[in-house]
Amino acid sequence: MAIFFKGVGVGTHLHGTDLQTTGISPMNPGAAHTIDAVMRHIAHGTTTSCYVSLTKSEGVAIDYARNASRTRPSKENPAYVYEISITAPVPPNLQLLDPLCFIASKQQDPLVSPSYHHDGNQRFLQHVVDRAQSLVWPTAPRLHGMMGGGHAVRLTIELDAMVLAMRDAEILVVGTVPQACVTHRHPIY
Amino acid sequence: MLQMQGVVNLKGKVPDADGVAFLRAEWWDPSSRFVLVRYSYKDHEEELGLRLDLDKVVFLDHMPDPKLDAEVQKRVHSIWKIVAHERFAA
Repeated sequence: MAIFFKGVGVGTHLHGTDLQTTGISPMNPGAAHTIDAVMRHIAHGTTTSCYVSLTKSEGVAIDYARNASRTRPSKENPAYVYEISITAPVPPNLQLLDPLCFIASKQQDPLVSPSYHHDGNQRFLQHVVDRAQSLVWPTAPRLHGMMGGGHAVRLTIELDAMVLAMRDAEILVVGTVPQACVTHRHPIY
Repeated sequence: MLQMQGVVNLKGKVPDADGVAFLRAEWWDPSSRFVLVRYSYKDHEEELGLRLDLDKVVFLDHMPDPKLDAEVQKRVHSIWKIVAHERFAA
């Protein structure tokens, strides 16, 4: 059995119901499941997808509940962290996806460019991980004698999505999480 | 009233978007990767704000009207820059 978590902020579309009684459905269950859809869901925050985001981390779920609320949580109107228990075999019509592994699995040909590779220096990942502290986007270093001026370091959606999936210890569900799998609800404020 | 950990004033710093005026960004946890952008629509402050993910540089919420939403989303980078500058650069 594996335990996953979902943080639900106050005022968000899942906040009005107890997910222990309804399960958790994606906002657009009919949308296509593709590599592009996975990357947009993670990197662009596209919520109208066929995915439900869960996390393996209680800490991330608490962050989403407390800090990604549409108004500040309080004792009277708390946010929630749900526990989701899924046992093998996975329920029918449900697919669990590790987005990092899924995206990486599509990047196996080094001859294809651009992939997740960037053209910055060894410190570039710091800018990806902590975007808000990187107001000045770095310029790609060039060797002496190379043609053209320096350009902004290339950040592909593949790299962006993989880093953000790691930030959130994210697991995607394709399909609806059955109510029986949603085992506990914890108020957060 | 609950005290805010941090507030960045946005009034007059970001162009309005078809009746949407951006008022301020709030957070209540200094380690948060999100801020809540408060806004008014036709001079009435809405009860629920727009969540801005500081790492993804996107609003996680959308306006019901797609045309209005597109105008609001166009402002996200400007708002992010103001918030990031005031919150982190100092």
